[in-house]
Amino acid sequence: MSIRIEPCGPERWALAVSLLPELLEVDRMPAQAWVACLANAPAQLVGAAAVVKRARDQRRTGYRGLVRVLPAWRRQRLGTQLLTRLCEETQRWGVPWLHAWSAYSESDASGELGFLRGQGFERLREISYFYADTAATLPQLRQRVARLLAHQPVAQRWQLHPLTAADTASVVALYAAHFSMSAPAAAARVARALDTPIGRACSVLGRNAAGELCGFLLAKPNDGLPEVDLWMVDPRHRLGPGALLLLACFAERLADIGAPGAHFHCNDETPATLKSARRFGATGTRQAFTYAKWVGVQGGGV
Amino acid sequence: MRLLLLAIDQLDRRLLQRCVDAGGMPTLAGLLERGRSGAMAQPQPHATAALWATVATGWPACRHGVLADRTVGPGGWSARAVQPTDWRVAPFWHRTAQPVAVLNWPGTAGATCSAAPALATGEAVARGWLRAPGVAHGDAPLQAWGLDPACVAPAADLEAVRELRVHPDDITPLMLAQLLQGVPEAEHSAPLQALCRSALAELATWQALSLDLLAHGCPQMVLRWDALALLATRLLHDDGRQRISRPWQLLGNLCQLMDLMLHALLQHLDADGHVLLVCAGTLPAALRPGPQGALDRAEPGFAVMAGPGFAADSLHQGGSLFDVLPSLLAASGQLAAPGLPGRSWHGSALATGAARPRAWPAEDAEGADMLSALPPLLDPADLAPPAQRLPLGSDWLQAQGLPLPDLAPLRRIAAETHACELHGLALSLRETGHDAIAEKALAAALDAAPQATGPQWLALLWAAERGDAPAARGLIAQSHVLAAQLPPGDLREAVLACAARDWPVAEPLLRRQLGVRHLPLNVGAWLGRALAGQGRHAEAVDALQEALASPYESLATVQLLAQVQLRLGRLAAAEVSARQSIAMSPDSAMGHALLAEVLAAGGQRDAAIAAQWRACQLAPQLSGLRARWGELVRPSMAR
Repeated sequence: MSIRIEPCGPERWALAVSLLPELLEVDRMPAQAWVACLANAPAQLVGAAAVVKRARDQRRTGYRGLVRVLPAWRRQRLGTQLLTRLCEETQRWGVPWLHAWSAYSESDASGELGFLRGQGFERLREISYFYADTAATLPQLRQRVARLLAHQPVAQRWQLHPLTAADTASVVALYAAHFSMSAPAAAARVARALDTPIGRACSVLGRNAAGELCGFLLAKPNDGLPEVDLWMVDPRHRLGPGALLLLACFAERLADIGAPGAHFHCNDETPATLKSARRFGATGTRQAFTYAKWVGVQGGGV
Repeated sequence: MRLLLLAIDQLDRRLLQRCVDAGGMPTLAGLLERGRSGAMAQPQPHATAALWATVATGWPACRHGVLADRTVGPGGWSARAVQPTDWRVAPFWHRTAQPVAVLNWPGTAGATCSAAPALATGEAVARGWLRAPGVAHGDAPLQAWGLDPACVAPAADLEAVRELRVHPDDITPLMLAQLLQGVPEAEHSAPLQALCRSALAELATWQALSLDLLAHGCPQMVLRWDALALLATRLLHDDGRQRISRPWQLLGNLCQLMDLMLHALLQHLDADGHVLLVCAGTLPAALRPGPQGALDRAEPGFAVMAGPGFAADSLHQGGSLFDVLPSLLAASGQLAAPGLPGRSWHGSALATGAARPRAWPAEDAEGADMLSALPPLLDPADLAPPAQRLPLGSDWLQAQGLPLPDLAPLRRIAAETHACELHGLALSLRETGHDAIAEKALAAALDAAPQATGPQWLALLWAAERGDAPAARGLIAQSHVLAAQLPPGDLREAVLACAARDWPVAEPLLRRQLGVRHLPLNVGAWLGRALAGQGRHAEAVDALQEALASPYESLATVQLLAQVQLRLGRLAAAEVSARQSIAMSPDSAMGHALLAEVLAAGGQRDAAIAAQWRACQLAPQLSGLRARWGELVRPSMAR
């Protein structure tokens, strides 16, 4: 059966999103898509690809791409052709790297990692996933916080609260700044986390004496357990004990709701988080890696 | 260069005056001294693209078709930035004999601009130019520097544009220091510094491209600077951490840098060249200095122009955004299309008949041409609605074992975009006197996105304006948004009292609210109405004049002011106000009818008849206007 690959216009946007639901995470429509469809039936999609033109990664600045082909139509080089479109488009914009959408573990069984490697994608960052057992972690955290409160006046000035919908505006600002994303997109992610019972019960924030937001820890559910979606301290307060205080407060919330533990993850650019995880007895569960492909730059570079 | 139209988005006149008075803007001070300048009424600041499309076409949004920054894409499942194909009236640069370089004008970029990173921030989205290279510069962080090829025309210039772009990292420490001078937070705020670098890079990019074009002999240029708007918007919305104690100082510093750039541009202007500087849009109130009371009001736009032929009294009686295009065409030696609602500020154009007085009699053949030249009025049904059904092909995907995801987010985005367009259409229709279709558009906006704030406020204000108290009460009761933004208290009671025309109750309530900042509510204008309603006309005039600078309800306020002045017998002032209302909305029958009354009261019967006839033409469905025209004509016939 003959297949055609063509740009996805707005009239087929909803169909492309049906194949690539990850695009719904992206605010508004900052993506450009291509579809592979049956030659005689343009509405019958067998594959789709999209590139989100929002820069990511400081070291390898690039756009984020996503390719999917329905199982029955694989092994016909459709994925390669769709990926080529993404690379060309990224190149046309003068952007040198195309990032794979997800992180993959070395033992990836889906075949996607093999496909990406075959297309020239290189390993970029390491992401570590941890599980922290509440019973093991909480006593250590309590001990450490007690010591901090006794000796560090800065710690005494932190006021920790549950994160509620009323705090959304300032949290969204910090969230958006951290990920270089738009405020509506950040607001949507915060709202999604707070829409869940676990998110509401375990998310916490810290303010200073002046009532300014200094940091927050946003939790979301993962396999019935809380997972840290984002744990961050405003850059102006990073030298203080904020991260630890937030973590301790989170652990107290875990104990309150009877959660046996929590998942969290961090990448290799946040050594402080890794160090905290190890110090308080969190156990590594798995590792994954992000991948990116050098696409070159049209016309000699930016 | 023979002609330069420089548009500065969101430049506040008070900010500019302050910089000029302090000697920080010598180029502009010189331009003000040797040129003509004055206030300029503008349509309600609903959307950036709509406002600047009015400048480029000379028509209100309900005719040129650019109603918001974004529009619903074909199929109804997506929203995209406004593109040239969405303009129902061609911009003037498509109709000129000489090439025009168009830089950074909203709604001019190509089809793929919907994918530009700028979209994500909700700032003015479409940038681009025609017949000359252009660039899209989004909100990407410093390290990212994608350039949308669709924003550059002709495509062959893409590489040149890439070379000329100024990266935020290329901003020199000296330039950054100049911008951050007097801003105490700057030293410790990396995000603020990054934001300022981005704004400067944006400005410097346009400057580099402009100078390059001029060096290559570009004869006419249309350029919009939006660095001020970018800076102001980001300071206010995007990141609370960037809020600073003296935003006015920062914005003033940016104005000084703009002045240096303007100086460089003017060096390329021929001896007989024309320059028009147009400032429209309003700075967010929270960024302005002064007590809370002053925050409620925004300055109207203003224009500065220099070059041979601009009449000395061009802007004495106030101009409007509609006048920019006729003036521009006249300055470049062309005749304006006969039906354009604006009036040229250019003396020679007046002499040659290229511009017409606003209150024209239309019985003659030219009048018929004028009306036939009118672009058709947009109806709410003309706008593409969001999709209601699942897309074609969904069943095929399901048959392939793929569960359909929840497409509600896409549906929501399309519905919000549709509502935003309908809101813009309703405002524009109302301003041009098409109240019935405006109500229809507003009802459709409320229907499309029941939770959107703007249409709900508009519905409440319109209900209050037409004295429909039950409707106003019902809207507050039904809407969570209005109930939250208008909690029980003085302000809610004041709005309801105004809607009930209970002026003695409304007056003290409104007075207590005068010093407080409110969302889309001009308390001063309502106080003027309350005073006029009680027959205290002299006090009403003071209150209305005080309230006039607000961006909200300004047309209704000016018309009420004209009526009150007429009632007081202050005919000269009433005529100025009536003409100002026509300048703000040349298509409004009410404005022409008011002018007719003022002229009739002053004994200028022929002029009054002409004005009344114009009102009849604009709103033939209003039999009262025709009857009044008959009353005015009858004594002449008897004579």
